[in-house]
Amino acid sequence: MEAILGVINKILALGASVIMPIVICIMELIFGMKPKNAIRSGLTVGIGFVGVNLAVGLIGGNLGNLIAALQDKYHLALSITDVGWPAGSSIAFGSGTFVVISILVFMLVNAVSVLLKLTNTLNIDIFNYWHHILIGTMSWFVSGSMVVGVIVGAVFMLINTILADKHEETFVDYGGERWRGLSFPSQGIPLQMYFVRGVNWVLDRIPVIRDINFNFGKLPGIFSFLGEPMILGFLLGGIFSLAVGYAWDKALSVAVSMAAAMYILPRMVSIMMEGLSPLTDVARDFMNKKFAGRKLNISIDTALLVGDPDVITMGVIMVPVVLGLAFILPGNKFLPFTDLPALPYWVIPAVYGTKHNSFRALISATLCMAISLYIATDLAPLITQMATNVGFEFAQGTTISGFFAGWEWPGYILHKIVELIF
Amino acid sequence: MGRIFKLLAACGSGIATSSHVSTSLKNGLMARGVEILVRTCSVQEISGLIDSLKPDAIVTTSSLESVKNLGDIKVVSGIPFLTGFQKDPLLDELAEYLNGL
Repeated sequence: MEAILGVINKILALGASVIMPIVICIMELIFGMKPKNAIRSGLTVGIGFVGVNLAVGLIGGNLGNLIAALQDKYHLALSITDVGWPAGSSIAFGSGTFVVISILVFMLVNAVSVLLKLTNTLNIDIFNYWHHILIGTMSWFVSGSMVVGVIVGAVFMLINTILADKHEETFVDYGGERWRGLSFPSQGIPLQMYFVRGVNWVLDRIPVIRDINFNFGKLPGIFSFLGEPMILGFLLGGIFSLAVGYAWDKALSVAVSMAAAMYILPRMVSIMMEGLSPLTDVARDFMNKKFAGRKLNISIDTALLVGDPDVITMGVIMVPVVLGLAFILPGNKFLPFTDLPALPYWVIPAVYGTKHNSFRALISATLCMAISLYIATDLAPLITQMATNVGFEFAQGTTISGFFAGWEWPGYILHKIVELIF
Repeated sequence: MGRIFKLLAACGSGIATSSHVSTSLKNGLMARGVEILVRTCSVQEISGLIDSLKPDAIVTTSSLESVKNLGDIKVVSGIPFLTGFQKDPLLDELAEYLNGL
């Protein structure tokens, strides 16, 4: 018995890259997958983790130094490294048992809420459970109890799902009937759509301003080029390096490294996703079969909405805006970087909530970003702790965070409640 | 027939949904005797990849309104791979189309 416990403890100490393959493989075997396929996909997930760790290390090494230098030289308060949402998903998926229990509980809660007609949406988008698992993990850490964590995660998912149902018409309005039956319960969209509507309501009451309605339209090709992850990484890496006084050759080297980090990190998450694919399929088929016959919505990754030219344009425009906000907002310590190419995701509520009125979208997005910067700052120590726990390695003294934490407002509120209790 | 077809699997970020679609495509088409090479990408990268890769078809989960050089390339929605609905008819359609090229 002793020996077995010893082995289990050793495995748990190895981190996500070892635990996840084992856990995923077992889950897939339970769902009836062939052993060869289960082993292959489980191992792929672990490989994805190793890859993400490598890429995050690349970011932490270079960006971390830049941030420290920026702090020294300009006495800025910006001390937090942005690791981006792909890393966020890895952190969420990293905690072995907690993840498995959460996924199963979420599926159960979803099924029950559908039966009770609380919602019409079947949450088959298992990959995006990571948002809810992340919030759950935060509560787990703060309360010391996995049970509390799973409950909070489930409540968060339920809130998001119910709220997301209400926005179906807004999306169908724009995208047409092909988007009927879809629901977007992640990336902060459910609550922020209401926030943006609130902003709209206020703007409606200001004379002159309320009549401004234009659309930026498509930006010249040069802007989408500049918004590409590798280009943005290269430029910002270079600019920040020069700003802190690196010699031109060192600045070039850092610029290429940052371009590499921005390009490689998503690819690594891609690998992880490849591994999760079969499990997602099998879980989804299972849910579909159980609910065959009832007309239900399904949850879908927000990547669907990011092809919208207005969203892309707004995302690119927000890059300088959010950087500016990061520097001037008092008390903000979070420097957005890795998630800058992903800004299109974060402006979706602003664009759709204002019915594609670019002027209002810009105002709404700026407000949303400001709030999220503060939340990301506040949650940084906890996120860093969670990341270290799943095996990510950082240089001494590095704190990390991301918009994935700053953007989930209901989750933040729930987290604060749990913090108060414990 | 031995020919390997080139496909692009596109989504908003080039990370999550496109990877899932890519795996489903490879498995589904292989089961239908069609060999493919899939490159996952984000919507922003499509224009460049159309020029460099010259794909035989594009499967996307996102809107391609902003892509200017689509030309005649066959574009299908990858949503069936995410939802599970209509997945097999779509794979049949793709297999037929590619074999006919």
